[in-house]
Amino acid sequence: MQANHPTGEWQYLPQASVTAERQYVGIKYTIVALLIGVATVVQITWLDLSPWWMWIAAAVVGLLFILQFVYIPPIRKKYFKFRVDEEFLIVESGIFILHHVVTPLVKVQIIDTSSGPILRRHELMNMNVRTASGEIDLHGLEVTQAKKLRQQIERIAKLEEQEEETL
Amino acid sequence: MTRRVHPLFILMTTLTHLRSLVIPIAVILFNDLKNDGFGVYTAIGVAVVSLIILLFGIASWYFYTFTLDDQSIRVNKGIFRKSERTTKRQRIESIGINQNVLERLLGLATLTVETSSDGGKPEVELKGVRLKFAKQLKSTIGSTDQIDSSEHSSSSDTYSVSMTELLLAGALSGRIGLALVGFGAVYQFINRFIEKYISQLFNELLHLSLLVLVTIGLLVLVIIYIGSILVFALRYGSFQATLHQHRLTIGYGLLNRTEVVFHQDKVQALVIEENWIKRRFKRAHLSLHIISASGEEEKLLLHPFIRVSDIDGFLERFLPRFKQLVPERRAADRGFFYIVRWPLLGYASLFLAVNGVLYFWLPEAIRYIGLVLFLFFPLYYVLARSGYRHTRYGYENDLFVLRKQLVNRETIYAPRLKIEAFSGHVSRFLEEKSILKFRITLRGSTEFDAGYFTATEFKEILNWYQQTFLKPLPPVAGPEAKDGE
Repeated sequence: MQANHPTGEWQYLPQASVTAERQYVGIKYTIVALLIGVATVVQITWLDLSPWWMWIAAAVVGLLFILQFVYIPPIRKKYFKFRVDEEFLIVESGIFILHHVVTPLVKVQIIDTSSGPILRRHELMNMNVRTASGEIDLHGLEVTQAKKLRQQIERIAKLEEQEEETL
Repeated sequence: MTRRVHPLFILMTTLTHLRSLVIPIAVILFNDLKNDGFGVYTAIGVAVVSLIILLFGIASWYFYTFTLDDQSIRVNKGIFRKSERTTKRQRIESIGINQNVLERLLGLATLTVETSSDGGKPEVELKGVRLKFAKQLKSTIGSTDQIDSSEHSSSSDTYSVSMTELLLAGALSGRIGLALVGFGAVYQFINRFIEKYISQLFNELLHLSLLVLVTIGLLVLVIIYIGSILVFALRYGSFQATLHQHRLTIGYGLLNRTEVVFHQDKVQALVIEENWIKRRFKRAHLSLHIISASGEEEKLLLHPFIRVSDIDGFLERFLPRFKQLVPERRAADRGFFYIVRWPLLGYASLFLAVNGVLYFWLPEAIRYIGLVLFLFFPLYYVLARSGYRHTRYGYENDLFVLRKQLVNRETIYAPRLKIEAFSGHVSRFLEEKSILKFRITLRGSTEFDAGYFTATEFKEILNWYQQTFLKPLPPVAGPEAKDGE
């Protein structure tokens, strides 16, 4: 048995993934802000309350928004990388905890790709690689990058594994 | 052949549904009795509900069919929403026969077929088949035409675990914590009904002397402890394992009986657990990681109380792919603090909370007694420090071994080809210290991890792991190449 040596270069998420994530976060928090606004108006107008607690809710949501809009997308881009070494998919990720995961491609059972309107606008795609033990999410890949990765995975996943015993 | 399960399935389904309605029906009857005796409407209501459940049972039985052929097992079910599930025999990881008390009384069983698909539920579940038929079905599904003719010998190897060993295993398993949780749950349940008596009892108890209180406390603990041993013995009583043509059949249970059959090669990992009490007696608990609906979180008991010196011989007989290794690579010393900080913080919070409660509840003379708990810290630290030195990993040929130890010791043996993912994890704050935890992921989302090891060791182990997983290609057809060509 020959040991596998790194054959692929690390690949990073494109800059467009940061923009796409920010747009998604922006839309999500606009809806949340609207809901908070409506809830506040309802409490003041119909329930005759002076809802000071809505300030707390707004502050918490505001903090989360700043975190998810300003900081997390570039950190995710900085820390997320992957490569394919012959038979293995290697992914490094994690904002607070570093995960370095090595998965044999022959164990892959399903490859799911998806893209919503925001991702499509930026020519990006999400990929979900599933094995019998779990799944690996690759969010915001360039379409060409994703297709190439899918081809690489499919090439090996079709081959026969050493461990194929029946009951 | 397409078949239906046994008609007793109807009775079993009806009784199971009625059992789940016992409490609401009892409440209604009790309420009636308290007012002015049983009402006619109550009787009619109970009769109608029972009839509906019976009709539902008949319809479920009628539409529940299964088909077996050379390649697959197909199950059709559903009254309004039909479902058909086909499972290829090749994907089967294990087959189980489970019998609860009701099924044992009726001579029926539930046959489960497990594959590695996610979802946590068995891929095929045939409820209400006759036990004899279930065993026959199990051997039909389990037999493949891939067995060599040389393997057709009828020789088989069996071992069983005696009741004495089971009782000793239960006594030394350190499950008293679980038993306490169970006791707490039972107490809460009972407390709802006899709240006033319990509070009266407590009031009486508070006036007793400290010695009596301690004696009562110890007595309760002893009862719980004995209960936990009995529960263990009931669960794993009549434990027997048989190896026949590379297929291992494990059966256990005095009340609810479980039997699981699987190919030796389907074993994902072997786990050897030695808690600190068992280590004093040089005994260990062996379990297997296989995909099975009958196990406890995919862990199946292999031997609850084996002599450590007997493990090698035992594995050679029943699981020759596994053998005991002495993992040589020790965990990095600089990682110890990061391993114990969370447990220490957890215990500190727990002890503070306990002390807070005792301060308000106990009489003034003994309200600081809880501080004794803090003596546990230096003891835990010393034990954990010496235990951490035994946290190790190693590999030999195709077998990986990972040992985690602070107070209790857990050693995992996994063949390389069974490891679905190998990973390293560390918080970003510790990244610069070049240490990380190793984690192996097996089928069924089970993970084992231990650490901290160094980043250099991680690279080295990846080099071992990243060898090919592919079957060698068959030689190209045509004349063989001659020397010099």
